[in-house]
Amino acid sequence: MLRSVRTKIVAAVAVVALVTLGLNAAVGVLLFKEQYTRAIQAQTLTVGRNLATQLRQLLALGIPVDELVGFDDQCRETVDAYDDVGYAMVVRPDGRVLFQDRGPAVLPSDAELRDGLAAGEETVVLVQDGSASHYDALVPVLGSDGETVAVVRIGVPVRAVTERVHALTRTSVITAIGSLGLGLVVLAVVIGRLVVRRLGRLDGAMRAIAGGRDLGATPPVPVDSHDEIGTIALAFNRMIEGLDQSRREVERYTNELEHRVLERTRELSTTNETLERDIERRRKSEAALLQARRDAVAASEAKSRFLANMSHEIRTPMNGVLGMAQLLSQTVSDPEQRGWVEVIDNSGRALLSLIDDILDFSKVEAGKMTLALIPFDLGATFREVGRLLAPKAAEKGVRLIVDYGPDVPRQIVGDPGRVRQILINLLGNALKFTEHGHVLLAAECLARSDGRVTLAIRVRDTGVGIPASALPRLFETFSQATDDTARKYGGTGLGLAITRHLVELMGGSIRVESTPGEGTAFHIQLELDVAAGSERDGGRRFDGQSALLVEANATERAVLARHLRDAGLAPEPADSVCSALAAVDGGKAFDFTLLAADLPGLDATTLTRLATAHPDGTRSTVVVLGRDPSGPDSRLSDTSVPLRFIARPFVARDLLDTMTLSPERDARDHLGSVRASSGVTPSLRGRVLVAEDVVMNQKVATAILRRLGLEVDLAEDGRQAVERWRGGQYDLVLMDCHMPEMDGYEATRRIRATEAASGAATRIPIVALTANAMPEDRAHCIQCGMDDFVAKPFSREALSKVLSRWLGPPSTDATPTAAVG
Amino acid sequence: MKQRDRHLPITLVGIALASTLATTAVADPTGRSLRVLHVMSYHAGWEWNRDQLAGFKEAMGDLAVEYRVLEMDTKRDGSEANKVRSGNEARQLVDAWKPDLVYTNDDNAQLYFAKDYVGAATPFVFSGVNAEPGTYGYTGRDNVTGVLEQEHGLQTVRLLRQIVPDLRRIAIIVDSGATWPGVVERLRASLAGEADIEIAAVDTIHTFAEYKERVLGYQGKVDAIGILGVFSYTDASGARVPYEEVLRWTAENSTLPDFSFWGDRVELGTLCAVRVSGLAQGRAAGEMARAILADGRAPSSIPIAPTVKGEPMVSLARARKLGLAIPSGILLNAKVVKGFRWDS
Repeated sequence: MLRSVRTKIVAAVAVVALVTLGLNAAVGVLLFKEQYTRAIQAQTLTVGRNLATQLRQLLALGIPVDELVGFDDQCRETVDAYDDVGYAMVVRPDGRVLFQDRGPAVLPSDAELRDGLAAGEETVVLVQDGSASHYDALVPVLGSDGETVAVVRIGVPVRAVTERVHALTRTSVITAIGSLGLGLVVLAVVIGRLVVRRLGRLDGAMRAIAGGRDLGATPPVPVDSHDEIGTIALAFNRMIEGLDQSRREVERYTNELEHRVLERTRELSTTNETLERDIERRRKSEAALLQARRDAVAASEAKSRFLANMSHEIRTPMNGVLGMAQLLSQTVSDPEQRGWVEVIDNSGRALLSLIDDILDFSKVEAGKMTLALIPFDLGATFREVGRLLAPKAAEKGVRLIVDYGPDVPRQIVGDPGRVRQILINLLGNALKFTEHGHVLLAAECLARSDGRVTLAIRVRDTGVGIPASALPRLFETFSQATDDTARKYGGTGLGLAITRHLVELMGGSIRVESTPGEGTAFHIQLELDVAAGSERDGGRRFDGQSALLVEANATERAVLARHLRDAGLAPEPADSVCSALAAVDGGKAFDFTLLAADLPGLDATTLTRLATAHPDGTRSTVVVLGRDPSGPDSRLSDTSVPLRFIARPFVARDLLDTMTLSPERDARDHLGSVRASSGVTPSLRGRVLVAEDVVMNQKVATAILRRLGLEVDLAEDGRQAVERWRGGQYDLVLMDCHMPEMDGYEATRRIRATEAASGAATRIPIVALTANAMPEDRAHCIQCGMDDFVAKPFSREALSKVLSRWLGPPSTDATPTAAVG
Repeated sequence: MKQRDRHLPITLVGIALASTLATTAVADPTGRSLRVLHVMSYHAGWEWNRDQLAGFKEAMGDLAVEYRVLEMDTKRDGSEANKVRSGNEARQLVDAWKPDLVYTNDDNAQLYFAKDYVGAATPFVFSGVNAEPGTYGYTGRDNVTGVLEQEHGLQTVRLLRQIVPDLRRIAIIVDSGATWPGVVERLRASLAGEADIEIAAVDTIHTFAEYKERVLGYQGKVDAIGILGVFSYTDASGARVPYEEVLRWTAENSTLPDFSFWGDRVELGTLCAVRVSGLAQGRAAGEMARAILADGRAPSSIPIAPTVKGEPMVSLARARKLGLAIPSGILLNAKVVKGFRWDS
């Protein structure tokens, strides 16, 4: 109830009105009391005067006071005309009472009379008459001679005022409450009609709409006035009208939408049916495709297996072919026959390379290419690749330059075999298409942080170049720049495709730039982990020392000068002997003199002169940069100056190491290198067990091993090999992997198991000899307990190099290589 | 009216026209002052006439009125010739001056002047008329209305009763005038409700001697005497005795309280009377005139009626002579005549 607007307004008005009326009544009563008191006093006096006047009038008629008849009645009648008169009396001066009325009023005392008579004036005083108080008026009546003939005394009780005040208060309160109540009722009715009823209509309309009544069926709220509520009602009606219109719009849209949905549903049903038919067809098609894929995968796997088998099967006889060809080349003395043997050897190696590419490509295609992640020396890989291809470069008269600066990390984590493969592919490719000039293999450290390094590897040649139109598909499978290229240079077109795949597998990228007639550059960018503990190769410093660098090839001279500067040296580049001599003759002294071995005009005398030109007599340390791994040619052998020799290509670290070799070591190396250059074949010592099931390979291996100075025993399978090992004293086992009865892996495991069981202190080296040339094959071999790996077909050098690691020193003092590194 | 007739002087009475221009500020609706012709039966110095005119003017209030007064002076000259002549004068004045209303006093003015205008266009208002309106043909006529002068018999008896509480039996004395039977009859009618008052006798007296005898005869027989008709007594010689002498003899020789209805009787020793008020008569007539002139009412729509409130008068000298104490209330509310006229 209290929440009603009407109640609130009525309550508020009631409170305000009550307060106002209350205050008004209080003030009114107070004023009334004051004025009524005055009025009563005045009335008291008036009554007194009236009686006095009447008495005077009667006396004026000449009637003696004592003879007045009916004066009492006249006075009573007069007094009766006034309310509230408590008492009235007319008293003669001698105290006789002419008239007395209303109650036992105390007669005025003589003193009072005297006072009143003497004063001759009217007085009104408040007198206490017993328990009641009166306003008491004394009015003297003067005779014709001015003497006082009587005194009129009128008393009006104070109670009259009090009663009137009380009556007025009661009346005021009752009237106020009555009028307030009536007013509030009227107000409530008015508010009810003007506000509540109209708000109620609005509320009803809103509730009806909230309750879900149709907007269209909602009658408008009557607007019976243009006051605020009327305005609200008008706005409400407009809102409802707007809402109804919106609802109709929505309904129309909904109907339209439903219609459309129905249409679309029909269309969809049709489409669905079509789709279901299509899906059914596709399902069948997919099943067929799946089957086709399974077939294809199976075929691919079969192909891979076939290729692997083929590789193995081809390598095995090729091992025999190449091995025998090599043996022949060393035994045949007829130059023509030697040439034929060489053709056989080259053709066989080309065939092997082809097989390797096909095998790799097969793996790429089958998605089975995986990468090893092991720490390895990238510089060494650069050097090995360079040296591997150096003979071919030399053959074509092309300078092969390796630029591996001291700032490039040595040890990185990756797959060394695949890196090597990439480098060989690109470098081989470059050499193939370069007839003159140089081929540069360079590594550069682009960025290094937090154990990772971003490397740029470039292979740039001065070859024929590639037409721009051929560049986009250069890395595609079976792609060569032109058909002419294929005819002229041969190749399968798989090399670059495999290279790109390997680079991408390593997370890197490869691109090519080329200008026909000027050359081609391949750029590889790789981000690799640096092996833990590996530091920059710039540890060796030559701060404050100088070097005279004499090199005719400008590119190589610039590369070397940069390497020297990076190591703290101050290089003095010279492009010829004349220039070098001019520098020396000019009075310059160098701590080091680096001389290209193939410099025109370089002889022992010149060399001596360059090395000893120091004014204080100290010699310059001379390093000869040779092209032939066999050492400096005889032109320089007559000098007394100690020479240090380094075969090209080399990495910066190799050169810096050579520059700091001790003179003794240097001398021995020098002698060694001289010996090596004299064609003495190094030999090994020991007894080797060869486990090989193929007779031809047995013969090749036996022949090569024996020529290396080793004793050879044969086993035809793994079981026999294990037995022979148990029975004889061998220094090494060459273990073919694929053999009947028991393969090489099992045989190795058994040998290792036997060794472990017997508690033998020594462990026989087992070197795998297998036509499975892939890195994973090598890993498998190591896992089975083998120690090293020689891929078939193997050359005498390769076999000799591996065996020399495991067998004791050679029977002579000669070392297989004179070169350092 | 006989009392006034008695005073009509034989001498030629000039008609005095007194014109009094209204001095009131309020103009009448037509823009000119209203003309009222006042024709009084007596003269302007007579209190009765003076009071009536004063009451009339008082009632007219702030109306702008131009008055002309014609005194027939029939009290001082009661001759027929004077009455006829003054009536003619009045008619001439009406024709010449064309008043908007004519106000007349007392019966002579009706008889010799006003009754000739019954049915005329000019409205006539009268006061102080003793005769029945039909006497002059006023009953039911369009242009005449007015105030009748009817004596306050009951009030006078009641006044006397306050002075003489034991009043029971009263005797009435009249002369042979034509007026008195009607007066007596009205008195009887008005006292009908007063069960304890008895009119013991009504004597019509012709001579002064008879009067004296009858008055003295009533001493001790009745409680009071109503002395009404005293104008036509004759002495032994047949001469008319002035009514003042009759009344003086009464005051000096009668020990019975007496009463009458006219103020001059009290001055001549009659103990008390409730006289008709000249002012009241004039006021009532003025109100009628005002209703006609200012409010446009037709005279016929205003009933002819007497005034109801009289004026009590007592003679203190006579009361003393009779040994009566007049109650203080009467002394205070009535006109008190302290002495006898012949003493002043």
